[in-house]
Amino acid sequence: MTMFNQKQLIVAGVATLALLVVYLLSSGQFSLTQEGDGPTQPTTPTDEERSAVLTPPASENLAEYEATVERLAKESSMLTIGANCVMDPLALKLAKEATITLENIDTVPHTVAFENGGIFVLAPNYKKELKIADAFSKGVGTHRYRCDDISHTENVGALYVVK
Amino acid sequence: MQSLNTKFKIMRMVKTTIAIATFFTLAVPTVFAAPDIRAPFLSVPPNIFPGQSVTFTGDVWNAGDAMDTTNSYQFIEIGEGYPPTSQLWYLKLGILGSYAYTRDQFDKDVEIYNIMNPTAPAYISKLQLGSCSVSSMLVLSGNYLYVDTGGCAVGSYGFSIYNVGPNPTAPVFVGKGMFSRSTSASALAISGNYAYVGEEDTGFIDAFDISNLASPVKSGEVSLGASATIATRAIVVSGRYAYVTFTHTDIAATVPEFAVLDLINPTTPQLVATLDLTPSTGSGAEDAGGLTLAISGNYAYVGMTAGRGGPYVVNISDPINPTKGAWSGELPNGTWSVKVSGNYLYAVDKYNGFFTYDISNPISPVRKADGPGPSPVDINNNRYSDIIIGNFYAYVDRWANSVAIGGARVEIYEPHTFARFCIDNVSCLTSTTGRLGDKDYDAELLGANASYATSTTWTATLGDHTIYFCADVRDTNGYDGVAESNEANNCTSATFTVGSPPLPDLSPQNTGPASGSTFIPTDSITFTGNAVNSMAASITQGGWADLEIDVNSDGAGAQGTFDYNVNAFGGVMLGAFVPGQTKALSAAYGPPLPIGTHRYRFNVDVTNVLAESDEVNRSAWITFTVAAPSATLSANPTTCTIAIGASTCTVPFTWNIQNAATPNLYNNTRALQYTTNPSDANVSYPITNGANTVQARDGSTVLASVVVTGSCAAGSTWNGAFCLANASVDSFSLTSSSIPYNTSTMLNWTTTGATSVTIDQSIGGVAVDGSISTGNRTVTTTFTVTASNGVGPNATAQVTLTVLTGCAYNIDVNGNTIVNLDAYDRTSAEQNGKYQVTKWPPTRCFGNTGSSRYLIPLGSQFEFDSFWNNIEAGSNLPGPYRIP
Repeated sequence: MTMFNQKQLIVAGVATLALLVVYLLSSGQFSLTQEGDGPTQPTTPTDEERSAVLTPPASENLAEYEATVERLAKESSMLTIGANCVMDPLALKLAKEATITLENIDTVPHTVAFENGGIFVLAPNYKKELKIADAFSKGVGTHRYRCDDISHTENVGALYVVK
Repeated sequence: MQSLNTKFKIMRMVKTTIAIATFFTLAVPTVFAAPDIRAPFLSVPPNIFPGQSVTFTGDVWNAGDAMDTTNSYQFIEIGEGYPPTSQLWYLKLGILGSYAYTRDQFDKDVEIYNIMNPTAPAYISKLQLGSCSVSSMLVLSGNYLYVDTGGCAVGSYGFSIYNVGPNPTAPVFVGKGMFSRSTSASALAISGNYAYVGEEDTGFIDAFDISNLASPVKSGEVSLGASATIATRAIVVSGRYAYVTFTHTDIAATVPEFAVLDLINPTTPQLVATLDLTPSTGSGAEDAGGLTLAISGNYAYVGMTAGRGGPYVVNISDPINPTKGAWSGELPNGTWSVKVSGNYLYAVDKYNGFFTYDISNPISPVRKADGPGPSPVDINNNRYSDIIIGNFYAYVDRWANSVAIGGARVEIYEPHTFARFCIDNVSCLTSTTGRLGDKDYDAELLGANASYATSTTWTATLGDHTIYFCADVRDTNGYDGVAESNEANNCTSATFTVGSPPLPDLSPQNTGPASGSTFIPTDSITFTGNAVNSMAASITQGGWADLEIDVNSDGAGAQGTFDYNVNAFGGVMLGAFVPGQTKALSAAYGPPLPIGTHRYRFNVDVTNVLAESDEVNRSAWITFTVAAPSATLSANPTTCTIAIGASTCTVPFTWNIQNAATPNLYNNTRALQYTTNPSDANVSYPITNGANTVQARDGSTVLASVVVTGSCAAGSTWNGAFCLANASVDSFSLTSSSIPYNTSTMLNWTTTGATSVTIDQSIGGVAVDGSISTGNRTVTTTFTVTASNGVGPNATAQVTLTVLTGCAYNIDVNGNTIVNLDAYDRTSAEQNGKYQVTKWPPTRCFGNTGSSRYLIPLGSQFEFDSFWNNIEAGSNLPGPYRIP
């Protein structure tokens, strides 16, 4: 004697699947919506591009530097910190009044510091929404920042803030 | 993430109901879901200098499972509810669904609260009990409420059962269990179809068959010691045994407080063990002994009356040989209620509220949180009696000793986690040294993946610093708030440097007038600017601020360095500045203003009282010009004609008056100001007769002028006020252009514009229009009329009156004189309207006939009859004849 017929198995399967979906949704492990714009696909800037963005320009080359940053900067509402403080995007283009989500996708905490002393510490797997104007106190222009070894002069990324 | 926590808050209100109903069944230490509270975000603001108020921000994040009472134990009161009138003794508490039932022994009732909103428990109703009850019992089992019954007559003592399922706010009486002794129920436990009910102050516990709730039937009883002072305070059934704690008045004796009943025969419980928990202690006025009891696996936790220590742990792995453990909770004021939920034991201290113990090791509980009651204790206002632990909340009965001081209430607590900022204290998690703010920050109850943002402020000091931000911090007793999956990741930190304070830089700015502005000599210029502290450093005194004016921009002047040097801040020094502060500067100059091109600037800290990062205290020179007034003026055409009767005509003017304080266009001849517009083109203004001098002026100063002329139109003459039309003779005639000799006719005339008219030939002045007799004329006469308006030229006209002399004549019907006719003299008087006339031959002319002849008056008519029929037949004169 067959314990379950085919119809019963289908019903049981659908019910199980429905319960699984309900569980995932209620547990927060899965969401039908996405939060904001995702980060751009990780790209690996060339060494030349990294240098062009992260090296402070000589005063006489300021216009050329700004043009380079403008060309390489990517628009996004998310800025991620990866392993070894690799920032994505390397140069983030955003409006002065914008809000970005800073996310540490590495497995260790990272500290981000700007030239003027503003410091942010972010734990692994944590996202933080920050208003450029409030949190960074940054106006229009290019603002380079360092990571972890913040006393070191090497920059790891730049914010390209526009009106 | 905050929204997730909000959703979590709503969800937990619903889950609470389920949890409360089930927690009592948890018997053994269990591995519960574990939160992981972290400090994942910390920010340090830029540009920190000594003395500056700095704001650090941090996030608390639960990266693990949701917080609830199974893993969190730092409780904060979030709501409390009061009865409508002050009550005293809320001593027992039960929760069913969204309602709390509290037993008020003073008013001998059960008061019911709606606790759906945990922040605002609301009193709903009460169930009044008998007035003679001497105990205070309340047990909820299923939908039934069991309370002590204190009827005042023998046979009505015991307990009552109410159904609260249909309407939780209006319990319905179901049945009553009757004691054989006159006392009321003090404790009750249900096992299957039996209720085991302790009696107040008799030492007995009765077994009732409650298979029919409407009619409980006593099936047996057991004595705990046959003492009238023994009162059962708690009964808990676990397996085949019931565990009992009780009080007695024999406080100095070695009377047990703990007993075990064997329920192998449920109808007749058997006392199988007793245990004296405090064999050598005892004091105080209250009954001594055990007040409350909870079972967790093989262990019982017993709360004691004041002065008896405890709560204590009893090993009941061998129920008939219970043994007291070494542990004591050391609550000093009496433990009125103990409850076990998950891995925690909650013990209510009479004055301090409830304490939480981790009983993961059941024989050696670890205190995790002290009672939230006031410190020092307030024995009148704050007394605590009972506690119920839900999944997310703790519900507490609080009572008072006097109605006047607040009375009883139901309180609801929620386990929270706390965070702390410390400056330069690496032990921030466990130590409050260097803590910023006067207390730890309440990060609330965090659901899974929920976060809480907080901040603090610090007055910066010079040097290198590290700010530590820790979550789930330990309080001053070393208690944290949450049992986490990872207790080693609570803190984060950031190192920063507070550098030497920057020097201030006070500098002036010019704001007005703008470069290139032009003024006139009569202007007063208000020069404005700012004194700005552009650095992040304060200034205690900015010194003097001056306005400097260099007339003619020649770099020299009589007043100080330049021509004009005056204070620009109200005559006082600038005073203090905070970083970034701006103060307005202002000073006036003129009138009069010297004509020329000049320059101005502001100078702050004139006497250099301030040490600055930039000691250049002057703003840039701003050039301005004071110009002389000038004007151009023209008219085209320069003449115009004044119409008859008008006083003016208009001429278009074009003018441009520059740099004038009070520009105006003025007709100096008429003393008439045309306009104050400084410039315009082809605008017509009236001029008067003759030459008019029109001027472009600044006030009364003539800057340019032009002469224009107005003339009267033809046929008119200016009379001093307007152009007066000249006089004219429109008509001048005679009624008859010829008259007989020595007769007259009428002169007729009309004139225009005349004020006087004269006619010669001895007539003289006449009316401007009229008629007048010529007077008898014997010779042909020419009359001249002269009309005059007194100003312009006279107008004249003439007519000639012909006086007929010589031959007879007649006037025909058309008035024409007909000559060479026979003449007829009237030779008779009128007779019946007729005259006798004498015919004369045509050759006989007047003047030659002598005075004997009469002329028939002109216009008279007569007719000839046969008598007078001496008129030539065939005369060419149609009759009737008219005798001239």
